Amino acid sequence: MTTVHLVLPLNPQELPTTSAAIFVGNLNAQIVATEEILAVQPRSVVDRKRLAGLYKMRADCRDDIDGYQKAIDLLSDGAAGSPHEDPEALLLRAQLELSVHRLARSQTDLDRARSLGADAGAVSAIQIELDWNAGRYDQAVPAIRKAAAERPSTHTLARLAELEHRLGDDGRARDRYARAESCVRDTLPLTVAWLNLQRGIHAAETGDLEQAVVFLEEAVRRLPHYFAARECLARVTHQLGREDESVSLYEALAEESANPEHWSHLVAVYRPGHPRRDSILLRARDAWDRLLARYPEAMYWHAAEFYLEYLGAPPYAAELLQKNSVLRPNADSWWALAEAQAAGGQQSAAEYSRRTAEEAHARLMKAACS
Amino acid sequence: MTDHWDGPAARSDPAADITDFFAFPVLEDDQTRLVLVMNVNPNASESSRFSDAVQCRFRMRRVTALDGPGPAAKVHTGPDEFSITCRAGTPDRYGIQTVTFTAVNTWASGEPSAEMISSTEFNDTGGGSNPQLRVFAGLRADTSFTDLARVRMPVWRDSGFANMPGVNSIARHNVLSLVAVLPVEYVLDGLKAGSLFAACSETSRSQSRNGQSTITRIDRMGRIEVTVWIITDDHLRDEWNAEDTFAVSAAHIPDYEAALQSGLARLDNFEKSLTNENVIDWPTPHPMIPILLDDFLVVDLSRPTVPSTTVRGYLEIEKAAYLNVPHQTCGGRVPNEDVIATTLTWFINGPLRSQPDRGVGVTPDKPVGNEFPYLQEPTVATPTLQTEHWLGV
Repeated sequence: MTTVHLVLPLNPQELPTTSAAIFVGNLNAQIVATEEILAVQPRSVVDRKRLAGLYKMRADCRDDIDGYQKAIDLLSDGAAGSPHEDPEALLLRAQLELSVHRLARSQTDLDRARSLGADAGAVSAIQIELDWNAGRYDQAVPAIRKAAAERPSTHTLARLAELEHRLGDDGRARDRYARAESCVRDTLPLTVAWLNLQRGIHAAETGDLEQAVVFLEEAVRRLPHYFAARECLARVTHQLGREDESVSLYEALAEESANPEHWSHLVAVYRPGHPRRDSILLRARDAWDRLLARYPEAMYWHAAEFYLEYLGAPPYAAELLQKNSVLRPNADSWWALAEAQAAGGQQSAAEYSRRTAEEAHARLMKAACS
Repeated sequence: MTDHWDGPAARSDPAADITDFFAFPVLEDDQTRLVLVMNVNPNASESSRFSDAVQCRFRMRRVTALDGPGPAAKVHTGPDEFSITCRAGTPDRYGIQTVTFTAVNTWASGEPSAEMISSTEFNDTGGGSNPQLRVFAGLRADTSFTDLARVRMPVWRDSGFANMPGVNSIARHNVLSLVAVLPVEYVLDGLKAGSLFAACSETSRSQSRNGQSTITRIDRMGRIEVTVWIITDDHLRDEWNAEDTFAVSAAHIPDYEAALQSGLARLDNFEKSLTNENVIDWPTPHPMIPILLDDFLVVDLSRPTVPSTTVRGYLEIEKAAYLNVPHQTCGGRVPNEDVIATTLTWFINGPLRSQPDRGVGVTPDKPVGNEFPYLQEPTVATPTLQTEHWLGV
């Protein structure tokens, strides 16, 4: 008989964080207060930056792309203030544009922020993601390692862990995640919940579903308002065959969230013939089409997954993923495109995409070895 | 802003972000008492509460020697420590939160000292459960005042903004305030061995791993603007904030010295000549670096003041040591004094010119009064949203 040793994340006694209710109340209070201040002082760039940062944090919790856009709009309203020459505002907008995959705009803002003397660590963190998305692994990989070595923090070490996982060294990845946990310096529950979500995703991707549940349950315990963690926990419990739990998690998410990804996953866990199945699918399709029209860059991939898995439309999924590959020509994008093309019977196109993905992956491995 | 939003760790959880710190003696009921004020949570409003995971702590040590003049200026402190630790509980279903203040002297000799404890409910102005340790914890108007546009502008040698009305960028902002008032006799046996004390504030979290309890400091504040204007690198701001004020890590001191030199030189360069050249008043290395490395207020508890005074005592004791003259005030910091003007005048003009005053032409939005808890009611324009509205919890 073998004993399975699960890694336990630090509990609230070992790593205390502000309780979720206080965190949510304080975030909400700061948003309301800053909105009121801006109504009186609409030209205040400082308050504009603060409010945009608060909107971003709320959007991070709620998986809410409209929240990111609201923050971008706040930083782009030249008539009401002038964030355009403020390095912090530009940096924040670069991060927000990255969140919605408007990569060229993000790069423009980042270059300007850099030239105005923005914090080097923050600039580097965004540049890494831009390079990664573009498949510039020769830039991204050394920058990820350098950031973790020179500025070890929860985020730089978690990013290094993700890299190690991509390179196939999961033992190292686990070690890096543990170090990332030991670097948590603040009391924000979102930080710890986010890290446990990353560890849960990593464990699930390596097939260790029981371990994934341990991390994901801790993430949800720290911040029950964190939609991404709840969604991931619902997915993993479904994979483990804990159907009632999974359905209950998805139903609650579908109720609270405007993100159609949660609705479509609910369909996947409903048994065939479930009375709500068709109506949820229709609702999800309308929502995906709306989001595709408003945020095409951010939605190509997500919507393609929906059309491929739930509506059986591989050609349309491939069309969306083709656009995604142009925008983000990295190994992951090409793999996803190859899969959709193969599902639609486009064998030669799929073969080309697969080869391109393999070449990109080879570039990643080469960058890791050099 | 004096210490608002400084460093990634402090910025991430507003409940741990110190915005201001004040320390001054007052005369009440024929007794000299020490007033300590710490503000956290910038841009707070009605539904803001103190964190149940963050400890807010006031710390004081006796000043044992004050060296000077000039580059030799340095404040030395003793090993005994007085502290007040504030811990907040979880709010009940009506949002009522209890905050407990625990004051204690910790003697280096190991001699035991009785704790003085006082608890209060959020926003209750009654002074708490212990008349000897009067306390307040709740939502108040932000005491900071400055014109954020002007403080970034260059100034010319013979003129400034002090007499031109500016715009208070912090008007209408609120914070969560902690106020403690107690007899000076309780602080390290009071004035028996001298009247000068070093005072600072900090937020931290306390964790227990493998049977060992440790403290992680998140933010700390003694003087204003150190991790806002002067140290500008985010990583270094976090390092600075994590330090023990009374035992700064020797390994980090070269980094801090370099950052302070860079920030202070930038301030010195703010002043331009008529031909738009930088007017340099301070030598390199900047002689105030040893003073600033010890990030605390120096306060004279034998010179009581009134809470509403606008007399500038901030940095006065340290400046007197630098100039080798006797100090005139209680030092420390009181809420209504223009500490931005004091800081800019000293660091832009240099040690030999008190004029022109480098104030930015603003006064407090809501000046503090002389009645406990001194700080003014918050500015609340409209009822805030409820948590339920936010996420359906």
